[in-house]
Amino acid sequence: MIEWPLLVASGLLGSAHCLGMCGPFALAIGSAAPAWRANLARQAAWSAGRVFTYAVLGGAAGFIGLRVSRALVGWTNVPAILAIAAGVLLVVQGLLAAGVIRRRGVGAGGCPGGGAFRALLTARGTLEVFLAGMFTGLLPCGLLYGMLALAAATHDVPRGLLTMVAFGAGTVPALLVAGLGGSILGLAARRHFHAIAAWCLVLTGCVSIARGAGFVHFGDAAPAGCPLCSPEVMPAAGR
Amino acid sequence: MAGAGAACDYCGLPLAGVAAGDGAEKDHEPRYCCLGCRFAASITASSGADGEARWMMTRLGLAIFFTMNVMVFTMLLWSQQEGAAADPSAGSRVFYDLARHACLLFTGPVLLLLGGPLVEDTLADLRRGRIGSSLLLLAGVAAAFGQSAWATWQGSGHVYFEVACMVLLAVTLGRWLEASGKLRTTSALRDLQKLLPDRVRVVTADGEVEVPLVGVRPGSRVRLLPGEHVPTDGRIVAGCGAIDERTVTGESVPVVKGPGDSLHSGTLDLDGELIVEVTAAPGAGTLERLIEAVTAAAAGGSRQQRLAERLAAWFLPLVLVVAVGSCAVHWWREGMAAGVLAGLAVVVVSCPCALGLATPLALWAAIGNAARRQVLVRDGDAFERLGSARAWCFDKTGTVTTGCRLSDVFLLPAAAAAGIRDDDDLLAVAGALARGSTHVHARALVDEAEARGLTTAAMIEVRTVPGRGIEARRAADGATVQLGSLRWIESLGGQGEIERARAFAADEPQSALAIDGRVIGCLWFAETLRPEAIPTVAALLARGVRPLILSGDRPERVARIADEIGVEWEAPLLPEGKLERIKALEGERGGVVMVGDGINDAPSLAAADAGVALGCGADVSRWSADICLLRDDLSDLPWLADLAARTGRTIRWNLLWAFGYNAALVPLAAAGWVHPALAALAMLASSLLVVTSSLRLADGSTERATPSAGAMADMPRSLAAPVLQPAGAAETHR
Repeated sequence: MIEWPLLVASGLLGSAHCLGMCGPFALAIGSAAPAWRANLARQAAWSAGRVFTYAVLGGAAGFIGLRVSRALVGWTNVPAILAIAAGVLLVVQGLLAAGVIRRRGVGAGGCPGGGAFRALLTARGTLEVFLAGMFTGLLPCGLLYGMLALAAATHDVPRGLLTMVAFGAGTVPALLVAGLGGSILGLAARRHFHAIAAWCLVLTGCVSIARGAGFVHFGDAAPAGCPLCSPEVMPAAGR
Repeated sequence: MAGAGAACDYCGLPLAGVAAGDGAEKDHEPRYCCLGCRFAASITASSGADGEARWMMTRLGLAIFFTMNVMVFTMLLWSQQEGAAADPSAGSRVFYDLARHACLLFTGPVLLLLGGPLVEDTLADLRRGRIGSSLLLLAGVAAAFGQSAWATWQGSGHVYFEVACMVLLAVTLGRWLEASGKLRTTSALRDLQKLLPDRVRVVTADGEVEVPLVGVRPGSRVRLLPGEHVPTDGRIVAGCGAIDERTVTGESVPVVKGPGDSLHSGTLDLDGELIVEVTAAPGAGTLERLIEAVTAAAAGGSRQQRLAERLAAWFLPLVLVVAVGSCAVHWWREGMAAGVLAGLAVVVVSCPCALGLATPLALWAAIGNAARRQVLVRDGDAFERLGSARAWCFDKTGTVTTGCRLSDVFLLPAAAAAGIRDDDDLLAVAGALARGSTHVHARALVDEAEARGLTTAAMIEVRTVPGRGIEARRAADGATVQLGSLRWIESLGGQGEIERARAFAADEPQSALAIDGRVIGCLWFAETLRPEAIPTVAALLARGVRPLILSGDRPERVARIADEIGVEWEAPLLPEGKLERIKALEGERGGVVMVGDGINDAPSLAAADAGVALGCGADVSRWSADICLLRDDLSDLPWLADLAARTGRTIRWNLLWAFGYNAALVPLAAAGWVHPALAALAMLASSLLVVTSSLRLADGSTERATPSAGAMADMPRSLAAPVLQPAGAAETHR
């Protein structure tokens, strides 16, 4: 499967997005650590929590994909549509991160759990930090939804789960760096990194859309096939 | 029921249907309004308020972690079910057994972590002889877990571990969200309460002792240091200091107080060391009465809230009946498991919170938000009506205007002979005389003389002529100087000159100055408009509201003010006339808001749908208005109207949601079409939706609704067009 390296890469490239949303949490986690080594353990626990949540969500997405495809047996285009939807979500996220399109103002709704979440982030114990990571994984995130759509396209619980683990693993390095010392990269470098990563995200989305479009069935005509990779290595999408 | 109901021991919200002296209070058993508060309180009890949030999240987080594991294994089981049916191989069996045992292993901790409060809640219900949803939930969870554990042990049969976990988790999470939402809505009032110190220094004959605030009695003497809040009402016995009274009077300028002056609880001693004799028992001070008034308003609720409460009282028993019925039918037709699942789904999916909680939560949030801005709401109904009222009546003096200023001076020919060359010379003399009087015109003269930086002439033998003016002799030359009402100066023999002044301006001058019996000059005064009056009116007009001034003053004066701010007016109206107009407006336009000062306009404030008062003073018991602007700032009005309208919308939306959601999902669940785990998620989402939409009203960061200068420029004058019929002899202007 060439998909999983691609997913890790998406996680890596999507990191700019992650830094924007989850970077402050990584910093908060680090701020409570007395030393560098302790901080590393905390960051690892936090990321483990996040990846755990992603994995569960991925499993659920795979399960939903399975149920949907079974319910819609005649609909051969479901995986293609899912891949396209995922691609569109990713492109939108990328364009948002790049600043090409703007997010509409989100109402400042009072989340009743906000204070408690903050308390977990700065707690001393590793368990709390792991749980904080778990809740972080539930935060609304467009990139995540795009990836979940990909996981749903696998039509399989274990594979959906692994999809999200791969993606989650990709997000770890950037957040680890952010949490260990926000100052390792200078402001200008971060801005460049951010811009490059945003466009990489758009590219990933385009790949997904192209792949989905390649597998759309029109009547009896055989699917055109993925323009970037051969159908044999994309069993989920090809069936 | 306002104030009389008992309150939840955790969030402080009133307990529905329980009176204060009812039952449990005697044996001091804590009472909670819901499972969420019980859960939150149980954690506070075990770890203290400090660690509460952290331990709460850890407990919930661990439960979520284990539930997530259960869900993953369950999904694996589900997705393999069809394959396994076709392939009864040994490998498939091993996988099945492993997955089931993993589910069992992960479900145990969830039950241990979250089951306690549910069991307690059930027991509390049973002790009171009631059957609530807790009992059914507990029974359903126990049945699902028991059946699954048995099936795992036996190695055959369905498992429902995910049902037990999800139901328990969603119910706890949902109720906890509600509880913390409620806690947030009451936080504004708790913040006020926090202004009172816990301990005070009591001065006795033997020295000084620190005692808890509740131990202070009227008559005790308390030492107050700079930077401390006044613990309860009292009188200064010794010492002197600047007191910041903004919490209770809204006055932002500190007041200097010394021996004999009274202090309000909750005010801040800025810089003096004071010995204070306590005059009110703790809990009966100004601030506490203020908080009590607002709490009573929130507890009394509003019309919609009472409607929702009545419906919720019917709703719960109905759900229980449907749940038991659907359980029985499905059990009979499809077996025990189907029956339990259907019954459980009905109990879990129903969201009584949306019905019973949405309205009070929204009202509490809004009233607390207003209190934070020192707008005190004393009547929830009036607050609700304020949002939809279309006619806003204002009193003029003291409401739209504040004080008085010198508007014009006319010098007569005799001035030169008396050594008065220009307006400034006249003001130097008049200002010196005016110092001896507290009349509004006199104050305006002093202000004007000071503003112009004039050195006032020295006066001797100053005496006040009651009802007429002031008379004195100029120190420099001994000339007799008189300043006073036009009529008085005329009677002293200056008719001719005053006639010339009358010809100079359209309206009658209000005062005149005479030196040695000759009229030197005439003076005109104008009421000063509150600086925020024009933007406030513009903002109200932009809301589609039609402001109107009802005044007892002379028509030409009212007209001048009304034209300046661009509103309709009616004058002169006696107090009874104002009442009649308000009643008539109610018929014509719907809701009427009356804005006035709390003392003179009390009858009209009471007659309107919502009475809003400025300058209520510190004593709550004397307030006659439903809503009080402590800060004395009109620009709070558009903001308040906005908040009230938003509150009304939120309440209606919440109620609509509650009806729609329950009407749609309860029948589906009763039909057995909703899996309890999904039902749990739906309920959680519904709770979250309702709570967050209400909490948005508690958001203190809302922008001030003061319009910009631009908005004023294109203020729609046409909106102030004629509709009113003249009322009696009063002149009506549009």
